[in-house]
Amino acid sequence: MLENQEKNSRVLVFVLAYNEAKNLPSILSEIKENLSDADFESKILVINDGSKDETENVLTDSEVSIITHPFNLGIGASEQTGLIYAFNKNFDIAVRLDGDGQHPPSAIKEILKKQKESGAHLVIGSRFKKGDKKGFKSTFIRRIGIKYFSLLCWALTGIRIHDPTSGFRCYNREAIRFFTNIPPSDYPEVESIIDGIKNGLIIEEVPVSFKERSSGKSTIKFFEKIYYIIKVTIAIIVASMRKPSEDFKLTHRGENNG
Amino acid sequence: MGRIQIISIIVSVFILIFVIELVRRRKLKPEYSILWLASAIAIFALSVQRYAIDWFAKILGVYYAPAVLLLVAIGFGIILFIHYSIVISKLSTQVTILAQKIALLETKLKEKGSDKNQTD
Repeated sequence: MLENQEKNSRVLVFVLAYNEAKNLPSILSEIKENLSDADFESKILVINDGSKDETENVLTDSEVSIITHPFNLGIGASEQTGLIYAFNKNFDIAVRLDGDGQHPPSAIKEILKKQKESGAHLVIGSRFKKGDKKGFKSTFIRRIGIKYFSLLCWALTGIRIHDPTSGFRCYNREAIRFFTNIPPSDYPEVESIIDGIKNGLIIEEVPVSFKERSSGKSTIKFFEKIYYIIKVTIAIIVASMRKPSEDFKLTHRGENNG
Repeated sequence: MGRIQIISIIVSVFILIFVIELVRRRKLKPEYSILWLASAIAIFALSVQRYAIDWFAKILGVYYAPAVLLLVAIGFGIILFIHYSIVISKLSTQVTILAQKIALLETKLKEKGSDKNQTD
């Protein structure tokens, strides 16, 4: 596995999009720009999660593919669709970005670098990791929510993840394999961290300055927030009670240092 | 025999026949009929057997014996609802997997198509 890291890996960058026709073109061109001078092979993929707007007709070319869900399946299933594509096409690394423009494509390289250096299975672009002084920190309420999940993660696993709700993340081949084999959960971010840690995945964080959403409404609306907190709380407490998956054996099991 | 018992005998027999009929007409899968049949039979048995009900009532400390019937019915109702929640969860997972597969296949086809166009 370590040898694989040395080789130039093939990287899939996938963007989750639900009614993001307005934001997508600029995100895609920004990703292309940031990958243009990369020394690895890369491909961009849009996961169109049953959008009702023109998302499906956003220009695709040989560099950009699009997968369109027949109807809205949620973030978890969309993320998994991207990972299944990465797995089937033998990508070594998959990077997830959200189509609302919060995740700056300029940070992709930073995340990839961290992955390569640490060999972590999952690298999270984190809003609150020390080192990030500037940038959009989202609303006060949201910050409290993230802190809450961070503490809960720590209580359940003993590992400190500063921004467990961040969807800006990078999976290596084994993490891809792991997450394609469990049923997708909606609002999967925090739960996937617990599942991952329980199964021996190593998780690292990189400080990233998030941007404010470019346009459109947040995917999580007001009443959904309450639902989100309750649902994710239940999901992660239960997830922490699960035994490690029988059919998933890491070839390279490591220790988490948080 | 109290009136509630007569009613519950009639209702449980009706449920029994109705569920069997649904299975016979292939409107209900046999695996989903099991809980219904079990609850109908349990209520029927309790309604017919007065002593059983009195005995249960004594154990549970219920003063009005026929209330045990309601308790059993509600108990089975809860089990049925949980069972359906499980079935719905399973179905929605399967629908998600199907939709993902379709979407992935569609893209695969498109990519194959564009490859061909390039080589032609």
